[in-house]
Amino acid sequence: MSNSYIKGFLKDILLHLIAERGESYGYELVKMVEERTQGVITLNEGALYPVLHQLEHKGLLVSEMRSTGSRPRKYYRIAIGGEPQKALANIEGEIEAYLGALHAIFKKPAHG
Amino acid sequence: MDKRTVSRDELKQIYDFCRRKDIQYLELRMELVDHIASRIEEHWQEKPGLSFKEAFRSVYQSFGIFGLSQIAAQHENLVTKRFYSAIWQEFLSWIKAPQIILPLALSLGFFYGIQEYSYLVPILWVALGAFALGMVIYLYYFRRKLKRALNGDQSILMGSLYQWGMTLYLLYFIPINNWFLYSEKFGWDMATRTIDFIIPSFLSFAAVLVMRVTWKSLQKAKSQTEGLLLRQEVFI
Repeated sequence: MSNSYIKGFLKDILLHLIAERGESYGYELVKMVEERTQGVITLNEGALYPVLHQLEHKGLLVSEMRSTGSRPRKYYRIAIGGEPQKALANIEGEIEAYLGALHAIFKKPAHG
Repeated sequence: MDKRTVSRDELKQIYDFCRRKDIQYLELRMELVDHIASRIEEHWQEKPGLSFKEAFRSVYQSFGIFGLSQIAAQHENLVTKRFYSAIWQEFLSWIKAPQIILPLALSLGFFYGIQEYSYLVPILWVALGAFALGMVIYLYYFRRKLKRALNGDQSILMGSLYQWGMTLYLLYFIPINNWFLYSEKFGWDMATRTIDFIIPSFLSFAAVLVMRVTWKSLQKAKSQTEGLLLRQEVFI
């Protein structure tokens, strides 16, 4: 699938997955998307990290560097506060409305 | 069979590679090293016979030709926004009730003090100027110490201070500039209208605000840098 489709949803996808998981890290997020969509959607690392850092900068995510096994790993989780919760609450409704609108555009017109 | 994992020496190779690719921010470099190492381990699960070099090359290619540089450039952009954003947040925190009372009282105090007790103005500006100078000297040495500890690398907070902090140090000297501009002794007695008192009062408040943000950022940068240096030991 073209990456341009995903670009606009990347923030929503990441926020949703991190909220669902409690906390997560870059590689795990890529794997989760690949597995859930059975490879239809693949996240590009070049786009993933800037978006994660942007969400952190905006105060929607907080991060913590922890050592796991032999190396440090950066974990992200949803920040505490009204704004991140509001953003999360809006995602589901907005995505559904958007998908419904796309379906309305692309559905085959009834003939006859 | 045990899951094959990236060894310490291989981690170091990935780490050095990222450094050569201009990923100068430690937190970003460590994050990418973990990502690349995880991808390599995934490759080994599918093809256990693959050498480290082959697996690494394949992972690197998946980032695209400009992948790493693109991530580094976008990170740099974010760093430049960081300091201004901190100043804005600090400003917002001071204009909310009840904190607003303090800057308002200070600005009003300045405003009436300047008008009623003009002989205090040079003393006040010199005191503020001396404080600002002392702060700049302290911050300079503090920053230099952290920079040495980083040994050519960078951390996001140190980077933002490095890029914008020095420019903003100039703001510290607004109070002393005002003394020159508004002093009769220098023949530039510009303070003839109310606005001429309001502006320096506001700017002095802004200068104190920037000092406070720089101070707080440096304290954060210190603990962040120490933490990163500790974690970085894995790769050395």
